[in-house]
Formats: sequence, C-alpha cells, structure tokens
Amino acid sequence: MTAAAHPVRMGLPIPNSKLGMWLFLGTEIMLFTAFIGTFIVLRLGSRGWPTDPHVTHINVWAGAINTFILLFSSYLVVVAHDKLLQNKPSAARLAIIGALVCGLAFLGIKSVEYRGKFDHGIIPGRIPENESQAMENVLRQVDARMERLVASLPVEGDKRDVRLTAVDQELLDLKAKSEPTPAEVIQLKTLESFKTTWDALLPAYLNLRDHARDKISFTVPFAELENVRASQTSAPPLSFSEFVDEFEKVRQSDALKGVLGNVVVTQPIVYGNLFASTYFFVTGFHAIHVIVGLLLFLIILAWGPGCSALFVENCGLYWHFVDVVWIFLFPLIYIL
Amino acid sequence: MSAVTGMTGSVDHAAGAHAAPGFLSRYVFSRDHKVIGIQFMFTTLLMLFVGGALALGIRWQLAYPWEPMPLLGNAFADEGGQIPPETYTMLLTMHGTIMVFLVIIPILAGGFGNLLIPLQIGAEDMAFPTLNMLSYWFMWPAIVFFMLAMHAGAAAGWTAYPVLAVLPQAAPGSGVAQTYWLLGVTLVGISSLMGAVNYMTTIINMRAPGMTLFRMPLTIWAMFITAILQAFALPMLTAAGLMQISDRTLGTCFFIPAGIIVNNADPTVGGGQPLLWQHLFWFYSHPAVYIMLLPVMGMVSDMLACMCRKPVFGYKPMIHSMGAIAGLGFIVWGHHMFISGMNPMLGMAFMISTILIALPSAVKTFNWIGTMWGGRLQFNTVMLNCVAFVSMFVVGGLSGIFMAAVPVDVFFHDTYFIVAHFHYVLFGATLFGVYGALHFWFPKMFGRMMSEFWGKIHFFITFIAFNLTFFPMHLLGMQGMPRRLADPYHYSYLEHLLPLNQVMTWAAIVMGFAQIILFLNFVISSFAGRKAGRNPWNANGLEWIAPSPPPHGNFDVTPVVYRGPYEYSAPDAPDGQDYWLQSDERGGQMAERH
Amino acid sequence: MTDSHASHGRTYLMIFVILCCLTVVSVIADEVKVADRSVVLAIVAAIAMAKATCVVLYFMHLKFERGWKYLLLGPTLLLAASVPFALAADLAFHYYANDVPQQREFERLEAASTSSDHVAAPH
Ligand code: HEM
Ligand SMILES: [Cu+2]
Repeated sequence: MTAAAHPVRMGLPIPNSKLGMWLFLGTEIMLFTAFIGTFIVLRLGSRGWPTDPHVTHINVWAGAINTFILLFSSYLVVVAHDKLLQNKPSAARLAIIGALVCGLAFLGIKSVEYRGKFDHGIIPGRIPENESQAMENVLRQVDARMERLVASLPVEGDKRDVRLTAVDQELLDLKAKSEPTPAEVIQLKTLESFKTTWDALLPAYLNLRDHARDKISFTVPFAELENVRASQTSAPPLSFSEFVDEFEKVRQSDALKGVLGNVVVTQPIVYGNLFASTYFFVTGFHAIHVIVGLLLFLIILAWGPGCSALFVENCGLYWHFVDVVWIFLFPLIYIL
Repeated sequence: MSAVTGMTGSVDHAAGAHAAPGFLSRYVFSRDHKVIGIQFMFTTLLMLFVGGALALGIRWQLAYPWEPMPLLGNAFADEGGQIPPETYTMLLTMHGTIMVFLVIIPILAGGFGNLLIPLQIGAEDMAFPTLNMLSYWFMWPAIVFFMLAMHAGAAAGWTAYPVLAVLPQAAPGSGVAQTYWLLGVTLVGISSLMGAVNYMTTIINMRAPGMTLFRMPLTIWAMFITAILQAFALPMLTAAGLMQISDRTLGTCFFIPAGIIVNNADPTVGGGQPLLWQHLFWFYSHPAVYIMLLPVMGMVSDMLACMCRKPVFGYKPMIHSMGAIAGLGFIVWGHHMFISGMNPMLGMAFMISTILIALPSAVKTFNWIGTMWGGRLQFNTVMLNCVAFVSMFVVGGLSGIFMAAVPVDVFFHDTYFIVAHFHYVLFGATLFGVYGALHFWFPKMFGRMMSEFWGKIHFFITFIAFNLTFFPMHLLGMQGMPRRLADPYHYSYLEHLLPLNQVMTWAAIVMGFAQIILFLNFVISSFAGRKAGRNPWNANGLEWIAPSPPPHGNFDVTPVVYRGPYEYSAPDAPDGQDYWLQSDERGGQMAERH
Repeated sequence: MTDSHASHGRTYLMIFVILCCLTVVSVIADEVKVADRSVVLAIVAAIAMAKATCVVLYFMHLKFERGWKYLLLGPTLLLAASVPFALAADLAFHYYANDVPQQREFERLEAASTSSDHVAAPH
C-alpha cells in the first residue's frame, strides 16, 4: 500500500489559505447579514421611510455606474488570475492595475454621493423630522454663529453676557479717549462693526425664535407675541416655508450676509435619521471592505511578477465577495 | 532543563534545526501554538482573579449592605470602602463581562484549543501561525479597554441593553465607559474570529495521515463545532457592537427610538428599535454559552475515558448531539427575551426549540454516566473534577428546562434563579472541567505533574463552597429576589433573606481563597513538580506520543493513525498495557481518505 | 497546476456581459414607473440573486469546486437568509401600541408635519 509509504495528510484537496479564505468569507457573510438584515428589519418596522429622490438625494444612476465599475473590476481580477495561470504575468499585472483604478473610481463616486448628502444636511442624528425640529435646527445654527461671533471678540470674560457688557464698556472707554493709539483705533473699528452686526442679528434671532416657539405666523409682529400668548387668542399658525422665507430675508440683509451665509436649511424628513443611519452605516462598511481590497491589490503589485496565482486567487475571492455584497446593496438602497 | 525552556521544548531541537530564536520571538511573539496556548491560559487565569475579586465585592454588598468592605473595598470605591449603587452595578457588569469574554471563552478556545488541536490531530502547528499569534495579541487591547470601562464605571450589565446603555445621558459620567466596553467586546470578538477561522482550517486540513473524521478525539470535535459557532454567530455581535458604538458616537439611531426623555435631556430623535440589540446580542450570546461549554464537554469525555479505562460510551451519538446542540443553539436565542416585549408567537417557537436542546444535552450526560458505568475508576483530581462537571451540569441543565417554559420564566426572569442556573453551568460545569483539564494536560505543557494532594484539597474546598454559594440562589430566586439590585432588603418581602445571603457570601470568600491553592499548585508544579514521561496517564491520544513538553514542531516523526481515539481496556492490547495508542501500527488499519 | 491550462477568458467575458445586462434591466425596472412597487421589488430581487449566483459560480470558481462547497455555503446561506425573517417576525410588525406619553406628543408632531411637502412614502 503506497499510502503507508508516503502517508498523505487528511483533508480537502485545496490549499489551507484558500480554505481559510472561504471560511473567513463565511464569517463575512454573517457580518453583512447582520447589517443588511438590520436595514431590512428597521425599514419594514418603521412606519415610514423617505424614498423620494429629491429628499434622499439618492441617484440611481450613480449606483448603477458604481455597479458597472465593480463588476468590471471583478472581471479584471479573474482575467488577472487566468493570465497568471497561462504564464503571462505582465498582462495579469495590467489587469490588477485596472481593478485598482476601478476600485478608486468606485470610492470617488461614493464620496461625491456622501458629499451631496452632507451638503443637504443629511447626517444621522441631525436631521429634523418635523417642522418644529427643522426650525430649531436653523435656530441652533444661528445661535452657534452668534456664540462664535462673540467668542472671537478681543475682550475679556468667558460667558456671553460678560463679554457683551465688556464690549459696551470698552466702546465707551475708547470713544472717550481723545488721542487713541493706532491699535485702539483698530479695536474701536472692530467693536463698532461688531455692534452693528449684533444689533441686527439679535432682534432678528429673537424674532425668529419666539415665533417658532409659539408657532405664530410672522404676520403678528414681535411686539405683540406677548399679548397674543397671554390672551390665548387664536393667531395665524406658522409654517416652515414661512419661517424659511423670513430667515432668508434676514440672511440676505447686508448686515448679516457674512455671518449667516453658510447656515444650512434642512427640510424636515420624517424617518430621515433612521434612513441616514442605515444608509451610511451599510454603505460605509462596504466602502471599508473596498479599501481593504485595494490594499490587497497593492500588495499584489508590490510583490511583483513572482506573486503566486494562489494569492491572486484568494484576493480575488475576497474582491468578488465585496462585489456580491454590492449587488445586493444596489437594489436595496438605490431602487426600493 | 530549566522550567522556562521547558515551555517551548528542548533547546537542542531549536539549535539543531535553525538558529535559536530570540527571547521575544520565542516567548512573547511566539508563533508556536503551545506557547500561544499557555499565554492564553496565563492571561485568562489572571483575569479569573480580577473577575473573582469583583464578585466578592458584589457578595459583600449583598451580605452587609452599605457596610464598608474590608481590603478590596478601597479598590472599588473611595468612600471608605462603602460600595455605592453605581459601583455595585459596575461590579456586576464587569464581573460578568470579564468572566465571559476574558476568562471562559478565551481559556477554552484560545488556551486549550491552541494547545490541543495540533497535538491531538498530529500536526506540527496551526494552519496559520501568525494569525494565531495575532489572535492572542488582540486580546490585550480588549483587556485595556475593559479596564478603562471598569475605571470609567460601565454599568449596563454584560448584556448592555439599550435604551439606557446607548444614551450617554442615562448614566451621567459613564458616557465613555460604555463606549470603551463596546470597543473591548468588538476587539475580543475579532480575536475570537481569527482563532475560529484558524482552528477550523487546521482541523479540516492538517490532520495526520489516517486521522479520519471519526477517529478524532471528542475534544477535537468539540473544538471544531465551537469554532463553527464562533465563526458564524460572532459576526452578529460584532455588527451589533459597531452599531451601538456608532449610536453613541456618530449620531445614528439603530437602537434609539424617538421621543425618549432621559434625565431631563432633550427628547431623542431617531426611530430605531431597542429590541433589535437584544436579538443580535443573543443571536451570538446564546451560541456563546455553548462556546463556553462544548470544549469542556469534549475534554471531559477524553479525561473520563482515560480515567475509567473504558471507551467513551456512544462516540458517534456524542458527536451528533454536539452537532444538534450547535444547530439548535442558533435558533433558541429568544428564550432570553420572553418578557422583553417580544412577539408572543415567537416566544412559543423559542420555548419549543429551547426544550428540544435539552435532549442532546441529556444524551451526552447519559453517555458520560455510561462511560463511567462498570469502568475501573481512579478517583484522582482529574476524575473528581470530571464527575463534578457532569453532576453540576445536570443541576444547571435542569434549571434551564424550568426557565425554558414561558409561563415559568415570566416569574423567574431576572431573579436569582437565573443567576443560579448560569453559575451551575458556567462555574459548576465549565470551570470544574477546566480544573480537570489543567491537571490532565499539565504534564504535556510543562513536563511535570501537578500535585495530587493539593489538587484534591482545592477540589473539595471549591466543590463544597461552590454549592453553598450557588445552590441557595435557587431559593432566593423562587422567593423573588431580583438580580442586579444593590439593596434588595429595601423591600420588606426580601428582608428575611439576609442571613442566607451572609452564609453564601462567606462560602464565596472561602471559595475565592481556595483558588490561591490552585494558582500556587500551578506555578510551583511547573518547575518543581514530579517529572512526567511522555504518557503519564497511559492515555491513547496522539498528544501522548510527543515528548513532554513537545518541541517546536511537536512530533519526532509525523504520526500515522491506525486506530480510534478511545481503545482502552482492549483485551488484545500489546506490551502488557490495557490500551492501544492511536498510532499503533500493529493490527491497525490505514484509512484511505478523510 | 498543469501547463496546458486552457484560458477561461471567453467564459469570463460572457459572464461580465450578462451581469451588465442584468444591471441595466434592474435600472430600467426602476425607471419605468410601474404602479405596483412590489412588482419592481420582485424583479429587482430576482436579478440580484441571478447576478450574485453568476459571480459566485464563475468568478469565484464555485462551479468547479468539489462537494465541500455545499457543506460550507449551504448552512451559512440558510442561516443568513433566515435571520432577517426571524427578526422581521418580531421587529417589523407592530402587534402592540407603544403608549409612552413623550411618544404620543412626538407622534402628534410627526402627523402634523406629514402633511407638509416632504411626505414619507408609506410602503
Ligand atoms: C439544558 C440546556 C439549557 C437550557 C434549556 C437553558 C435555558 C435558559 C433560559 C431559558 C435562560 C433565560 C432565563 C431568563 O433570563 O429568564 C437561560 C439563561 C442563561 N443560560 Fe441557559 N440553558 C441551558 C444551558 C445553558 C448552558 C450550558 C449555559 C452555559 C454554559 C447556559 C448559560 C446561560 C446564561 C449565561 C444565561 C443568563 C444570561 C443572562 O441573562 O445574563 N445555559 N438559559
Ligand atoms: Cu440561552
């Protein structure tokens, strides 16, 4: 019996590394089962879900192009493996470079998509889900600008009130000076320009804030809010679009353009936070896997012509898996 | 040969084969499975003491509420050793966390798995030695994060249920603590995953010639099934952990429903589902309780067969029942959620599957008893611990069946009855099995025997104290004493339980100190124990034909397997022995494949 | 590896083309505004399955592997496919009402804002 003379190890007729890779992919399947399962279950369990592309800023074409890119890169990887087996290392190398470029393009398109969502305020945990939250969201940003404005002034104190009284005091002092030094002149200028901005900003802010808080239309003037509230008479209600119009008026005014220029007005999106959480989480983890795949390609390239076909095959298995995950993510996220 | 070189094997082997590796690569960043296994064991035994100290803190508070704790009190709390409620919650959280994630899981798969898998299947090493080393070193960042969490006061229990666990405002000051805790869980999970892939590959593809699947010792089968459970259940927890981290830090809302007001903070925005965490968590953590048991089941089968000088009763049914436990283990997770607000229809399904899982467990129990029946029993430390394993598992398994019934569990859930149940299975079964395994394979690790006398002393003290500590918990539970409550005596219906709790605490203290005996026995024996030959127990597995301790590369020549794993008391056994070595060529059959 | 390795280039190319066509079909299914979204759902899900099968069978060479593939992938896929169903049985249907005071207020506000431009599409 030859087996006794040359005893063979037990096991499967595939190399350890390939077996290990497949087993690892098994664990990856379960990882993405958890992610995708969460996505599906939360979506089914939520009473609503934003699907309008104008709201979610999800573009089917971006997804479709990315699908093509990933499919093509997968194709290139199998070609590379094929070429290696036929002893054509330079062709294989070219294919791997192509796959690498595809991966980078995928990430590029993905980041453009992310960017677009951030610009519209679609950030998990920060999306207003109803009108009052949307107004609060704007007011919070305005308040933050005010805080920053006061904090940037060259005066003492750490509380806002303290600093503001310090500004008034300093203005009085400086104006009283008969022969100010040049530094003091500059100081005076800064403080005066701050004062004009502030005098426009504060009432505007209070006006927006109090109307938003009481949900009373801007047709009721600020001075009368108190009376309306006290008398509990019915007043015309405030809608978010009216609020936005009013805010835009404030923003466009000459005094405040510089301060409020980049406040993001986000439309309320019902269930937007849940949507954004799942969207960014699932696609984000997929993107991390893409990055790992690209690192593997770099290793292959750095290894050079001596790179074993087995290693390329194993990297390919991983890359195809990433592709398969995307094949499921594409319809889930972009189409349904 | 000094004890230290003993850990990796004879010096001349290393010198003969290659240039002698440096200290770092030999003992610290070693890629040798035996060294890694021993590293895992030392680390986890260290953690066992940390976790045990925390448990004593819990017990002190339950016996002498609000009285300053002597000695350890100052380590846990600053107010003169008095344990405030937040600290009490931290203690039970970190006790559970450390015991599950840093002691039991890693000592079984990481410690014994590493040590035994290549030796018992006749391989030189694991399939991926570097991955193996990494799997050990990923434990350390996890340990660091858990220690940080402990320091910051993580207090959400080892189960970390949302909503309260994800909202930083829910426990002011513990904001970062839960994040550290989650990072720790994620890292320890990555370590386990690396291990699991490695063990599976090794067992499938590295078996010695002739080591067919059904000639593998039950330890290997158990390790294999455990690795499968880890590989396919753990990613769920990793994913859930990452989601909870991102809920806490990035503003997502997987587990945060909308409109929850906690501690006067703004209402939460969101729309997520807290129950989702419980599903994902238990999807892993129920299989995890079998990850914490199956390897011991395998090792105990090996030890019992050897100490009774009988083949394991029902070798194949043992394997099938382990497979059934693993398979069913994936579909019973809901029994932890009967009263969490889960859909009652699911409750029914989970109740049935849970009761079903008791069947294979019972098959195994009867097989162990069948193995002992009519054998030539040697009541040494190993055997005593194995018998303790079987009997304590019976107690724990039986209380499990009680709780598996929804109507009963509605009453028992979150009482001390649950605590009694899982301490009977996790301490009573698993830890006694581990003690036995430590004594049994110690000669293979260090080439010396552990002291039989001190082993028995340790066993008897621990066994009696264990039962005094944990059996009364059944009674407490039936009286309705809730778990995780800093001062149960606040409620008058529990006041009369104080004396019982004090007895339990003193038993626990005795048990805690008894572990010092084990520790000293372990350390002293490793360099001063009686020298052991290759096969001190006359066992028949492949590990016993390797030198003790085995050199790097394990075997003198690659063994070839001709026989099954438990051929004890064989009438035709050679050389006046009563057993056939698995690699004994005489009259054996060479297997063709697999 | 034998040196007489026949190139699979043509098969691979064909699979790639098929995959591209399938993608186009699913985009078209989306763009054509069929009234019933569940039809789209069915088409798109079937296409995703088909594509994944193609990639796994040919690109990942599973078609050419031995029996171990069933042992490894069968249980895994079964588990993976059933987890969402098991979770959905509990989490996707509201069989009882959450009655929390804060939530009631939240839902009232929510209902009010649903009447604005940006409507969450019910499904
Ligand atoms: C005969 C088989 C078993 C059955 C039927 C069973 C059943 C149960 C049930 C129904 C619960 C939930 C009780 C509740 O929270 O209300 C439970 C909890 C638990 N079981 Fe088991 N069990 C079995 C074996 C095991 C084993 C072998 C282990 C570990 C090695 C284990 C570890 C645990 C743990 C740790 C918990 C508590 C988790 C927690 O809430 O913190 N069980 N068991
Ligand atoms: Cu369980």
